[in-house]
Amino acid sequence: MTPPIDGSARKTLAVGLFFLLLAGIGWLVLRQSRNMYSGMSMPGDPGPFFLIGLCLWVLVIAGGLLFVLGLWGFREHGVTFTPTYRLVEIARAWTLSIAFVASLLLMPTAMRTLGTTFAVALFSMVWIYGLLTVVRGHALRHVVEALLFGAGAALFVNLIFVRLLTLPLPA
Amino acid sequence: MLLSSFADVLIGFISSPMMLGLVALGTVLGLVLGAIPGISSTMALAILMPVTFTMEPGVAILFLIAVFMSSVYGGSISAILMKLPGTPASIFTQVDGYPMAQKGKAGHALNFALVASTVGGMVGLAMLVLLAPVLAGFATNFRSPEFAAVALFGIVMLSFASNGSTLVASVVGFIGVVLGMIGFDALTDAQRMTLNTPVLQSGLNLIPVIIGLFGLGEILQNLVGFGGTPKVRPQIGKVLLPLHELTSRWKVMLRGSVIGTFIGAIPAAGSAVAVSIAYAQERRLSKEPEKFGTGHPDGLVAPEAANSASVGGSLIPLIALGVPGDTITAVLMGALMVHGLTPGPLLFANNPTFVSWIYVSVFLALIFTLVLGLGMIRAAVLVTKIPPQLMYVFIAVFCVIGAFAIRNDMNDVYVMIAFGVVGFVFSRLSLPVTPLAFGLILGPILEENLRRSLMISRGSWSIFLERPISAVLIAICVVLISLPLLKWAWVRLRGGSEASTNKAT
Amino acid sequence: MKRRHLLTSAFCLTAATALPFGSAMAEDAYPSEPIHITVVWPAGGGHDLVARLIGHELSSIMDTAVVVDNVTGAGGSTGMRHIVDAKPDGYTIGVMGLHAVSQSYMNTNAPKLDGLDPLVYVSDEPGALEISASTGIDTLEGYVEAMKKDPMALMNGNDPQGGNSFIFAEVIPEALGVEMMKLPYPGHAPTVTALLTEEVQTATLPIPPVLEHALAGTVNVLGVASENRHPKLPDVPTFKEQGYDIVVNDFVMMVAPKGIPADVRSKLEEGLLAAVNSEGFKAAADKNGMVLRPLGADDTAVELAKQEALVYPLLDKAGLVAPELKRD
Repeated sequence: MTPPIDGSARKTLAVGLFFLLLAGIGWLVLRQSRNMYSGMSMPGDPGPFFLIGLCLWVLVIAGGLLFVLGLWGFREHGVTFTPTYRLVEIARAWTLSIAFVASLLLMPTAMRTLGTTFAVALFSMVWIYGLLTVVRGHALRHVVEALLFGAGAALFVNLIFVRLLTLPLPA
Repeated sequence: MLLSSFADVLIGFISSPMMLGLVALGTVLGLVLGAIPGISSTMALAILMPVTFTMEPGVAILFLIAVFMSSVYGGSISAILMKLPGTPASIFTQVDGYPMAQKGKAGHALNFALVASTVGGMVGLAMLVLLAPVLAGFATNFRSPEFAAVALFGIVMLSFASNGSTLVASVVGFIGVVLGMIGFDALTDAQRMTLNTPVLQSGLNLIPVIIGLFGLGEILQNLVGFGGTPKVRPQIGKVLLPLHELTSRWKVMLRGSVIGTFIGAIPAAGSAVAVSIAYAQERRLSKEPEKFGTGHPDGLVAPEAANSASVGGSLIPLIALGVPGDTITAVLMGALMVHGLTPGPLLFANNPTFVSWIYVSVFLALIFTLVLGLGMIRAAVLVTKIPPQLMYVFIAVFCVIGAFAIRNDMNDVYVMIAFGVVGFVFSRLSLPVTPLAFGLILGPILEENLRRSLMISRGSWSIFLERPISAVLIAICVVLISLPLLKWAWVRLRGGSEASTNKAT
Repeated sequence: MKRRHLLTSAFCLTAATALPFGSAMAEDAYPSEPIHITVVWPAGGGHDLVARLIGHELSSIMDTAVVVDNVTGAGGSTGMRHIVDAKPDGYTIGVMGLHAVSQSYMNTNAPKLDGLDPLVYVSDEPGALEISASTGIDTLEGYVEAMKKDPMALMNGNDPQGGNSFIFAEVIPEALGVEMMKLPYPGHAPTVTALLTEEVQTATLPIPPVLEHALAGTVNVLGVASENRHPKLPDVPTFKEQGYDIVVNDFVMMVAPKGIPADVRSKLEEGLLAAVNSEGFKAAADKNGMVLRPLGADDTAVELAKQEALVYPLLDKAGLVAPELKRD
């Protein structure tokens, strides 16, 4: 039988584990909410946790099923280990994405301390320069471009969102 | 009588340059505001509402309807060009629209979207004018059991709406359902999965989730191995679409429009449900469902038509009953109330001309959106010319501001980033993302109405089968679920090859 | 190209909304910046309407831009926290009602009422009992009789626990001596819809959301829970007139975060009172069925304390008060 995810036993196994993990987290979080809940429920009402519980059970069953199918796939096609150098390559390929997320996570704090306009300018300038350099190598032109477009982005945000629409963005 | 008063008002409008100018202004503002990622139709309306305070009520409504209708299409522009759906109603626009733009058919995609939304809007309007009483009667048959059945129907349809294994898509949908329940319970006010923290108590708003999943998720994927081999930038391609491409899709547009109008007419179901069901339905009927999600025009046309048609639909309960169809019509109703015109059975019974006035406003807004929208396409597609290095950064900034702006809450920015990561992880695991958004929309509707139905019946589940509409919907669900199984069994019995049936389609 | 498009229209928009682009530099004279009114419910609702109308008047009275921010989520608590956490400089104020009182006892993360500085009281929103005209019942007596005969016959639509129509649905049946079957709906608009589709037969909504339906005769209002009759429905008797001592109401008031300077507070109080008393606001409020009762800051604080004293026992009785927030 072909593993259902992309025909790959590895991915099927991973998705199975992922679903089981989510169900586990969900169950823990749900238990906390159940403990907090003291209100009474209406007659006939299956309660505020009924459908969540049902969905988590579906998740457990599906996760278990995919896990088994993944293992099965391994048994049929044999286990192939990823060589270490491939893992290093994958990790390197992900660096930019991870750094991007990390810098975005700093944005709310930056917006509160520097003000939205400056935070946007900083973020855009650094990343535009970074991405240009990654593709074509360092050049003075890239610095100028980054400064220019970063300032442009900040100006746009300031003009439209801060001044015109007067959103309560941190100043 | 209705049509003649429609014509009278229309002639009155067209002969007044001031009115036409105002519609044009409203349309341009709606298009531009809607196209800026981070500004939803609701927000565009709320922002421009004070401008109308000093206007005559009728004029104000004309202006606001122009903003409303054009911002619906405006939202599709950012969905197609940047994969940033600005409103829940355009979540399915980007599924096929963005891949089209990436293939250098941005102009075509915008054309498809514009024409489909004009057609959808017109069908919705026609049904509003001709069938409002009938549809209102239909809508009042919808009580909690029917809402629950519609949501269930949507969830069943969802398994047809995405590529890959149906089973996996459904499970992802259930994850979305659970996510939709985070926050305060709408019926008992119980905290659910909040860990007693303010971020989770606010619940997951759809907009930060979808701009994270689609917009940021896309950037994160593109950044993997970025720079190794420079991506070929898409050509702009032809902007104008050959006419036969459009005319050959009239069936798709019509189906989308009818679905959009009907679902839009059900109070509280709203445009997001309408587009989801329209998309799923079209994919199910399509001869090439595997091409959906990779830039199939039908996958763009159906939800766009449904999106616009649902506007007409959502005005039906507003006009016939005085209850808003969804959040956007709620703002429109608010605007009416500012001018002392509270929608209700009386307002429209006493002012039949006012109803014609609204119809004509919608009509003119559609025409102006078509004309001005066509003019804007050429400028809009230039966005695809921007090099990816700049584009990714700009989109990320829009994601942050847009996530904040929807509720003016910084926590939503964290939610957006988290779902960007979720979108990334899902794509690494080859899991479909759209069912997650789908579950998030339908889950709360299903749960709330399911439980309320059971409260009414005192815990007896037969309530869902006792009422005709819900019974029919549930029967359709059962058939839809069992159809693949029956097919599979049939092929098995005839000794068909196992591989071809078991493989994920 | 796109950018230029956006910019030109941005300028059009500015011209249209007439928002001051560069705000004045003078920091000393309040107000020198736009005033933000926080609304904890989505655009289009009752509070949003009040805020936008008052904001419109206030901007001409105070000669500054006034912006409405909808900070929604967590049953209104996110927005209330936004107000309490704002810098107390008079540039962030908010609209609140009964929900904030309930939430301050139900949710440990909701801000306490002592973090707020009441500015002005805008209006009363008296509770009422509405019944679908299709039931054929048009008097309170008829209702009580029907309910005593079969408590299950008439179902009531109301907010989830803690909302204003939930509170009304606690108070009214108890005074009438009937058992009420309460069906929760998330908000007033869905409740009205349920009343019109006859999923529920009665509702305990305040008057504004049902006013049009009451005037059209599709909904009968059996009684209003205030001292005086509702100005828009002069033919509907109060509960008191019918022999039941029921006075319960939601309210709309404007608040600021605790600790705003006294001079700014008095300027705001004065400006807001003028806005509430302006002809434009009064006319719009009247059309929408609001019962205006403009009060200054000190009287508003008294009203707030009164509401707190009324609501707490009700919540406590329904088992809704969080254990950490119990009062002795």
